[in-house]
Amino acid sequence: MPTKPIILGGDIVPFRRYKDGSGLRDWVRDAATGALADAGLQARDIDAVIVASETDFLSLQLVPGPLVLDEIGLTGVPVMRVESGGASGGNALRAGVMHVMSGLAQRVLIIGYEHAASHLRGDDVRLLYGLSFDGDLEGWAGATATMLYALSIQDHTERFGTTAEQMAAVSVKNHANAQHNPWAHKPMQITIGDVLASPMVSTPYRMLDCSLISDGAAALVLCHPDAAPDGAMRRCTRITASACATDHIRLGDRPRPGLFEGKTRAMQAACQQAGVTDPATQIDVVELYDSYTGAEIQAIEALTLCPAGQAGLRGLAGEFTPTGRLPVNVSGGLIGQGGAPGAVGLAQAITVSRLIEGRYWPDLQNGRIYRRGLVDCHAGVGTLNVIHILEGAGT
Amino acid sequence: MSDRNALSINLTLSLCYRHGFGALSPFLRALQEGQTIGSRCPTCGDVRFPPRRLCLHDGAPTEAHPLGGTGQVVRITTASVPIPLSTPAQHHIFAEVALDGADNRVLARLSGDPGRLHQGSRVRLAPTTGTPLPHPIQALVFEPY
Repeated sequence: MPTKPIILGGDIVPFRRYKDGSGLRDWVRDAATGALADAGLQARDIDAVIVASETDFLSLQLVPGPLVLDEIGLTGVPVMRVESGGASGGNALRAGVMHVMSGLAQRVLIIGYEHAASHLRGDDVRLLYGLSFDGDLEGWAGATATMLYALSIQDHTERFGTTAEQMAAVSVKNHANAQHNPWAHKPMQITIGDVLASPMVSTPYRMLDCSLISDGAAALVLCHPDAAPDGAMRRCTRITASACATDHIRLGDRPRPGLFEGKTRAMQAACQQAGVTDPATQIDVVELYDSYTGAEIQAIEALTLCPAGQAGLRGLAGEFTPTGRLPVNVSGGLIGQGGAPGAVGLAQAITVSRLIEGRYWPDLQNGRIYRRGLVDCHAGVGTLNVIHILEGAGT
Repeated sequence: MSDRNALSINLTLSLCYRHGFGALSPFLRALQEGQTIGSRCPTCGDVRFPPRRLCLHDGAPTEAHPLGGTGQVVRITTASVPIPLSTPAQHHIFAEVALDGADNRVLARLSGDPGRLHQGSRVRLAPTTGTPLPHPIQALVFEPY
């Protein structure tokens, strides 16, 4: 990319199931305030705001942009809302990149939130999420997200022999990582046996194979290099690629439904922008969209971070732990940190930027130095994919 | 979060939509009558069920293409889920079904003896019961034969 926007700072309102009477007004205010403080800016320094959330049926707030501006004291600046399901935060970040690269804005505040866990009953949330695939042809038939992911991973299993143990190892890793992340919704020390003994949800996926539905928010400040405060260019992460690609909305129209081919397309575009020719060796750390344990395996392969069919085995061997060759979902991912769809993509970018800057949670930073990281999220079953590549100031 | 005295209440939102199906209407009407109508691309011959308006391969407008209503189970998953606006949560079997004569697969619910429903099972569109359905796609149910 000719212009490489800088991530000046960011903050996350911990992903939880909030039962304390708080709501999106509180969360977006806290996230934005924290992000501005982390960036060393005041609200008046911001010249555009982008808001991300998945659905107003969860928040009960249509046209959230002006409300968010009101809460953070920024009425008057331009605002836009971005919705892309689970990739809402990622595509909002991409919209921020577009603002900065086009010259429309110099300092953009991007805020994502979701009131997904505590606002509606679980069955109602599942029904709504079912409509995020093909509503008329699948959602109203009774399809759920877990069902569609379950059918997708079965194709992967048929091709590569992916096992329940390999998938369970993803849950063990991501819940364990979450134990060291105060933003995380579900820190747990569990075993593969625990995952395999958890209740069946949709064969072959069990409860501990599934990611969480969370409340929460995240905010991030993006800046044009020409408008960076003193010292920011030396310490802050920059975005070197921002890509989006899609796959057929219905699994039945995909020749290989177990492969996230839309994600591979997005990855190819991102690598081209960033000048990455061998992702498996040139990417140091990854936050990806682990909506299900199998989806992490599918995503690692679709992102070409290891050969097709090997991610399960390599994960079982510890390759993707925080001390492994390629740490994946150091935060705990959606399985451990949680899944507030509008906030996820931003939380991922905040995590990777802090890891690159050497200032993530100490037990997860673990003394490691990262130069280049990948942020990946998607909507549907790998249907709408958004990828960013982040690099340290010294690269 | 910080205010321990935050107020919260229960809100109930009940919405009633008049929902149109547009170009899907012939497919859904036929389904309610126990028939399977897909689409065929006049240019490349690609057949899809459910029907597509434009060919996935070449973008050409497709034409309606009746199918026989029989097929094969490709992949299967069992889950305890409600059928929207219909039945409360209970065990259901959903599957990707490849209809005979179609070049793709369709997500559908399966009914009948679970012991006869597995990968590779031959299935046919189950007869409609005559009971009005909350949504016409809920007629897309296959049974073993």
